Amino acid sequence: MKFAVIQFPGSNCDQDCLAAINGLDGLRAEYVWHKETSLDDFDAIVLPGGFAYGDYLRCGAIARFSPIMRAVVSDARAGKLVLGTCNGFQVLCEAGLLPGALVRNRSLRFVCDMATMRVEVDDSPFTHGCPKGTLLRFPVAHGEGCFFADAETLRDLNANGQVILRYADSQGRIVPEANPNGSIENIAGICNRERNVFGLMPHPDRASDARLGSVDGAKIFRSMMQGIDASRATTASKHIAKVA
Amino acid sequence: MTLFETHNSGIALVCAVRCKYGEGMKVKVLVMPKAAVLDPQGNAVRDAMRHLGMPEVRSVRIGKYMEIDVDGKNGELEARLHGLCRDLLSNPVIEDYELQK
Repeated sequence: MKFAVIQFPGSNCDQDCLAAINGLDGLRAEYVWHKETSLDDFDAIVLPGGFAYGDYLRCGAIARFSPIMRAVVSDARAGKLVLGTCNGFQVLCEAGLLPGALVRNRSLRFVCDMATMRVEVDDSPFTHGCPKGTLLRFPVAHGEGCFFADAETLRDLNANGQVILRYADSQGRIVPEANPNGSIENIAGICNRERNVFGLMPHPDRASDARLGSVDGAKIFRSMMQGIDASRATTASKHIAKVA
Repeated sequence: MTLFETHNSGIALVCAVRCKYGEGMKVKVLVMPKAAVLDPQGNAVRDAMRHLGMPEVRSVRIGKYMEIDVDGKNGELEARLHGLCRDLLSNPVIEDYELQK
């Protein structure tokens, strides 16, 4: 199973993503330069963290017009799994693949810390192996990770079960002290309505090796692998049914 | 070619394009955070202003100001500029823009 890790000029977590994915059995990741135009050879797409195009104008504002983004958008619309971490999340919001936006941290400080997130939705392709309420520990490292959505969008996100992760304390309580950036309702990660595009500010890519203090990130990548397997099985059985 | 020369030939090129297509226009684009979006930067500056002896300051909102030099003047150009204001220069989820000619 092959994952594409998109490299924009200014991406700096591309190597983390590649190493995290390649460290898992059954998964292989390859870099794809942002000037490429096709992702047909890949089963899933990862937009890594960093500062694409120097974060000029707004985070992700210029990266969303990179040539590869056409393929990301069309593949996402066709149902391929797309994961955006940190800057990748910002790019997905700017590209309109995810609702809302990420703005300057409420504290005005760049946060670089370990964060705890509570899994709110366990039937997404990204959180298969994490029952609702599971606490995950990923590092956060960002200056503009405060999630914002207007009241109507927020209502939709909650009603459709699109909020996948919220910042929580070590007891799993959703409290302001656990919120590193001022995100509305402690939102750390959301998916689209179709549930195949997931963006989060924390870094599962930096939490996929015990030596880094957490292996929870691997759960996200493994879950994606299971999700792709399951959808392949469904497609295959549909095909068999059609042939029969 | 030195950087200075490169820069100069760039200017010459712009002039040549100008001469070919006639007058250009300068537009100004103002991008401001929407009222519902928290502006911590504005709040920090507001507090600093109060500290510096102006307790009358009620609020400060910080946005972006851009000057754009364009060749041509017609209305179609303006419509395209508005399109780019929505797609690139501002994010309608969090910001409003104003285009001034």
